[in-house]
Amino acid sequence: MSDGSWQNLPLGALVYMFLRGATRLLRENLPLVFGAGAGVALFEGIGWTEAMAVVLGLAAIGLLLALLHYRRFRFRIDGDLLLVRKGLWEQSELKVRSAQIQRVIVDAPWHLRLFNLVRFSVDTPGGAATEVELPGIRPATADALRSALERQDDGVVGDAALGEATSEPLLRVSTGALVLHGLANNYALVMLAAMTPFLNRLARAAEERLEALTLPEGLTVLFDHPLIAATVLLVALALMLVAASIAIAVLRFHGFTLEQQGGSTRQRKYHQTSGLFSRREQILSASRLQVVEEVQTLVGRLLGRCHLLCRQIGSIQSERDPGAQIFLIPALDRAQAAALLPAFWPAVPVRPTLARVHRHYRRITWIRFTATTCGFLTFAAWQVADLRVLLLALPTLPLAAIFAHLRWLAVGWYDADGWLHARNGLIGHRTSIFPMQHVQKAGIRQTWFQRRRGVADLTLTLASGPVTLPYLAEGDAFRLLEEVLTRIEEPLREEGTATLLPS
Amino acid sequence: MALRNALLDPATLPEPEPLRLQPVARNYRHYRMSSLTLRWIVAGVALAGLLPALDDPPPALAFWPLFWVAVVAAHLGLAWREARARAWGLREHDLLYASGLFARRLTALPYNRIQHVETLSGPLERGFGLVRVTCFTAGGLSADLVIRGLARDDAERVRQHLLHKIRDEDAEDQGTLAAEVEPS
Repeated sequence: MSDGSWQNLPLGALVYMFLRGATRLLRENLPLVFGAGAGVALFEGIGWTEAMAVVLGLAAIGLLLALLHYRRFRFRIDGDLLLVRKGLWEQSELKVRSAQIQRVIVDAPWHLRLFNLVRFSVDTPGGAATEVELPGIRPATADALRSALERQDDGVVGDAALGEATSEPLLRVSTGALVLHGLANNYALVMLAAMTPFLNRLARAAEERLEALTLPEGLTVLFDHPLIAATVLLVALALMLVAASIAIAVLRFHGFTLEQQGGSTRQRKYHQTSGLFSRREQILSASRLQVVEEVQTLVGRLLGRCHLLCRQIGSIQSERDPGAQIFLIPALDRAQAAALLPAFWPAVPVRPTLARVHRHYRRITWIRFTATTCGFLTFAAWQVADLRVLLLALPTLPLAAIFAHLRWLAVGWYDADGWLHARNGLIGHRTSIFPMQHVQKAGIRQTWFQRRRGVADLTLTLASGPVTLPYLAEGDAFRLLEEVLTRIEEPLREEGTATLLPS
Repeated sequence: MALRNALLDPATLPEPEPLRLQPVARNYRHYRMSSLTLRWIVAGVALAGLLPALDDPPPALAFWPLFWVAVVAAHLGLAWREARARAWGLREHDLLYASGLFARRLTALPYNRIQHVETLSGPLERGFGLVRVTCFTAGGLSADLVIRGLARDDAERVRQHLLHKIRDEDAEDQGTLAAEVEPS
């Protein structure tokens, strides 16, 4: 790609811009309208013909806005800068230096593939969301852009400096593994949560249909026995959710491959490709990687499956959102995850035995849970003016004990040679693994109870988000704090610094 | 040559030096009192205006001014103690800030993680000669450390020190980077 000249987007990008604008409008406004029931009243009040006229009018305005937006969109490469000019009401020019780019994403949703286009976006450390996006460019242009930015980032000319991709990919995920990944991660529940505003409307429509429907003889039995009907419905719903989760996992990660490019830490990059209908490529710079998280859900633990999240600066988005722009490595068994970790950091300790936090954490968790439940029940008893409600507190005491014990078992930590493993969770586990020199800020928190018991919470804030280790022995917490600060300043710090232990 | 590795007497080892932090400016307590009193007065006036609008107020509401005064006094007392407990310190390589009364917090921010520094002061703070120093690090969506209650001169000295440190760290980083990319 030639440097210096401003380029327009291909005409096919106009369709994408229009569709994206329409989708955003629907997503942001429809739940409000239909959720409140106003939409139904509106359609009943004005009739379908008028409603269609309104929709067509809105579509025409949307197309006009998309056209104006398309005409004003320009981009170019200038040295090590990617420049983007855009804006409908306000003109803006975004400049991103290649050295600041921590991730490049090239994906091709099905509606862009119809026009042989891809979407090109880059992440910089400044924000949690994608900052610069080229919505629909030719694949060849995307490749040229990526190569140009990578050349500038490495400070050398020619792709040879990047090194060839490893002859064998680091990981290739099979469809069977994706089925297990779908089982272990309930993506469908997330989709369901997003659809919540529509559920009332759907339920009402289903109710109307069911009333008009003549059921076969065998099925009417279900309505005579509510318990059987509820069980059948629940099982059917659970099966549907599982099937939907598997379908989402397969669609999103089909043909997943992970490759490594380049040798030294500064030049090393990880390249992943996946997707059945929407193909997505992501490139992550090793030098920008802050934390690797190993995530295991309850089902994942039962099946021995997990996935890895590679977090860079500012990536605090949820990995459970299927559309989230996060570097996720799915469908791993525990051995694969352990084998993959040294590919990111060769010196990282793999699967060390984690130490437990102080047992007071279990007690305080039990007290908090019990107190919250009792407070809620007291309020409920006052509201319904019936003290018998308080009897419900009795079964919550052992439940709270189980909850507290599971929570205590889930929390663990390990530190050695400048590496830290911190695990959190309840029945699922999430282990954050990172070198201590990636910590941005460190803090100790001690309540009155903790000071009396000689324990403390340690919070380490990384550029990708905070990691908290609760109820460490006071000595361990202050030692870890000092070690983290030492590791950050390792080449500079000398002996004889004042200890942080309280006097 | 045989290695000599004699046992040391633990009693002869140097004592760990406890950390002595600098309390925030004395005026900060007065500022906190004034700021909270103003807020409580505004809330009290709003409540006093709303109560007569109740159709059938419960008899216990007749004692609300007494209850109000007790709550305000307790809050002001705790805030005074909390303001006294705030402290800060500059070490060779990091900035420390301690706060909190019931839950004590000690935060350490290494200089080489600071991206930029801001100083802020509201009208009331200016009235008491106080300035806030705010430090930002990479990836944070908001300020990572806010040191409240510094006297104006102290704040300016801290700001200058931090900027000086950031410049030093940047220069060192540039040097390291240049050494890394230099062909062997």
